[in-house]
Amino acid sequence: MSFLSIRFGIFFLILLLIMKVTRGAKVHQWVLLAASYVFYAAGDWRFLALLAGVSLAMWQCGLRIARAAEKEKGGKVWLVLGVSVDLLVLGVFKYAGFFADTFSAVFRMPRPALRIFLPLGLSFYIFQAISYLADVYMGKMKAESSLRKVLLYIGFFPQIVSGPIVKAHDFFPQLERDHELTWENLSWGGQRLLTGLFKKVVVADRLGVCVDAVYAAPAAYSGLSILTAVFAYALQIYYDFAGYSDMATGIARILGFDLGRNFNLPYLAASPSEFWRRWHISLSSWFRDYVYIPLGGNRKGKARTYLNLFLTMLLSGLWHGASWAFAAWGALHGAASVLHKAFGGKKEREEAGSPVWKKVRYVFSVILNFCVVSILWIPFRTNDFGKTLLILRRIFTWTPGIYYVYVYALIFGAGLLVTELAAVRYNRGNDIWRPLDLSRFSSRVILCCFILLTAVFAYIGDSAFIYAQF
Amino acid sequence: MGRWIRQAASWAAALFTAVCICNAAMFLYEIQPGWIERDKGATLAIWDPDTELATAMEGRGRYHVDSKGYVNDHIPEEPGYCLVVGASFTQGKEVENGKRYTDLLNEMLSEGKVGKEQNTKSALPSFVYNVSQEGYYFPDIARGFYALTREFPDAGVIVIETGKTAFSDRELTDALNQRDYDEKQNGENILTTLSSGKRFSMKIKEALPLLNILVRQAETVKNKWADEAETMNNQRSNEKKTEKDPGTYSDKLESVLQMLREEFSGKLVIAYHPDVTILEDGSLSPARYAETEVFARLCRENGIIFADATQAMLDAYEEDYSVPYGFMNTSMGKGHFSRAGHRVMAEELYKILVRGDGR
Repeated sequence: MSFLSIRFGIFFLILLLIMKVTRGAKVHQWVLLAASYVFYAAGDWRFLALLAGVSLAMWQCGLRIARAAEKEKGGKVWLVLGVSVDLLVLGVFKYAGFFADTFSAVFRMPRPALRIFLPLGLSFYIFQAISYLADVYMGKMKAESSLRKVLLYIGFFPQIVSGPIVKAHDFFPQLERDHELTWENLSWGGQRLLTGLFKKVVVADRLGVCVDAVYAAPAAYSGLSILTAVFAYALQIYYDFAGYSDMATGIARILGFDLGRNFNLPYLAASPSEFWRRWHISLSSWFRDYVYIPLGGNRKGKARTYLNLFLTMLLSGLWHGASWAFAAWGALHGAASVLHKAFGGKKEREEAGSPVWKKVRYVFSVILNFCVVSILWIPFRTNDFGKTLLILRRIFTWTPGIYYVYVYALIFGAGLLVTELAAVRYNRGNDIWRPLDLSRFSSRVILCCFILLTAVFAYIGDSAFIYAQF
Repeated sequence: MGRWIRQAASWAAALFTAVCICNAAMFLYEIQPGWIERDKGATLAIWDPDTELATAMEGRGRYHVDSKGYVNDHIPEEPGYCLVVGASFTQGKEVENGKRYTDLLNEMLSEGKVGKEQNTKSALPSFVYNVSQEGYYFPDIARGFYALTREFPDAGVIVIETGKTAFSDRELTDALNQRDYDEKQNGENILTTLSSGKRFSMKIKEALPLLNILVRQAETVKNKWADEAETMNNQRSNEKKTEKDPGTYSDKLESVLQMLREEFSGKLVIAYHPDVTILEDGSLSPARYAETEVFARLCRENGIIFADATQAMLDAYEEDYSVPYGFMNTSMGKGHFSRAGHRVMAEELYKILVRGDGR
């Protein structure tokens, strides 16, 4: 069930009504759990049992970790078992086909006819499941005795399809509150939802027109046209995913939950590492807390730090997609991060410089980082090495072809630039979004204008969210 | 209770204010004149005469609607002009004023774009008049041909634009039932035939471009859902699509073309432009249908010039990657004529007007 469907609208209104007429944290948990499973079943009922099964397994493993910790036996066995179950499920449903294809290609055998469907939201809820076990094991939270709460955490509908990935120790305390509907949450959440809707249907979907056209036939377009499309895709994927995250965050906030911020103007980053602190924050912090730091982080010398960083990014790439193109994408990001760590940071410390020079250097770094990230989005989009090379060749040789400089790429690019400049000026480079104070008439007019303009400029086309495929 | 009423009133006022602001802004984006339907005129509808038309949704253009309800800067003053009738491709509001193929043709004719064709200049029409209506396709054009020749009796050349050559038996059969003509439904007179309520409603819609756009968005959503449902139904059902009987198609089309030929004694041209696809290898591929060959043959047999722009479009692409459809705010290869598409059509038609036989 897409957030952009009338079905979801009706579903959500009914849920709000039920939340309004019921009281108590426990009752609300049952209501939200039922709603989450109805939501999931509407999207893909075939794998409802899998979702419940994973949640049940995590609940049991969590309890046994806690019991073992009480007996001072560590509970590592149960952690390993639980995480293994999670990775097995992920491996079978998401990566079996990839491994089979790779095996067939390497050993020149016919590709197996087996086709495994990817359950809705698997990549996201498995990571939440792992987060639960890891947090219990690390003592960041107590094991949950209530199966209801574990089921709700892993299956919570606002973020099960495409995140944000909320860590267990951040989510469970919120369950203890009574989730009464308040005007403040409705206002904040509703405005966040509308902002996400605008980013998705006005900006991202419209940019997709250009991206789809050029990426379908790059051999036809001029170098400049392809460069515009590459730039447009960098904007599209950002607005699509940030838009979805805003919608998920807004919906959750209306229900009284804080899912955290998932994007913080990522194209304002001056380095690859900073980019990953601003982009898909929930995923990168997950990998930091549950992969990079357990591998040793930066505590075991430079060489090991670089290796840990590279491996983390490689795994992040594979998480995004079961193909060598995604693995390469992750590896390239890892390489960029390692290179910056090895050579970039040192220079920053040495060159104090004048304020003007620092600003120039900062601007240059931001532009360079944006260019690197945009180029790395190419294999992400094409999922094909041959096409990636063709696109790069046509850009860098400035090959003639169809002239197509998409106007909306320029308009939305300018809009993002203005937003970033305002963020730098007024909020030290951080996201400047704030909800309007709807007690004021002028704010109400602005909100109404925003809704009308969203309706006018919404692109009515294929509205599938990019990150839903992961 | 009072507080709720005050809140509701405040929100209603805010919404009204927002509507006024956004509506004013929409005049920069899209202006749509009133749409007046009629059943006894050259076309099935005309725009509200002497108004403005503008769009930035697909391409960008701003035009004047003349006293007859068509998109032209001037109306014909002398007999023997070239009348071009077609759908939104011919209307051409997506390109700047002066860049539609009928405007370019006017420019070519007025400049006397001749070299060795100098001696034929006197046979060329002096003016090209654009009679187009959105959604006005060949079967409807054929059905209204009698009315067209009555509303514009002084035309020396008639060009019918079409992007399709395949039509159903029903469409071709209906095309033979000619519409009557009533001069009271001409652009100059039609407003007097409308009720005051209809005129008022039309003027209100003209003043509310925001409403027009929102209605169109809602229709697009509805059509999208209907298409998706139809696709699902087609996938479910095992119905085999009934294939057209080529013999029936040929017979019915010939009847229509003969009727056109009998109705108008001057030069009659069918200007055909195919859909195109930009292929992965970088080439431009025109849509090719078996019906097109039949259409072209029957035109020749009935003394109608079949101007096929396919090769000209391919040549233009080969020369400088010009794509005949699409814009910088949509995508290339789809939608209405681009500036390049209009240029190709104008040049093809000019060659025909100069040479007279399409060769």
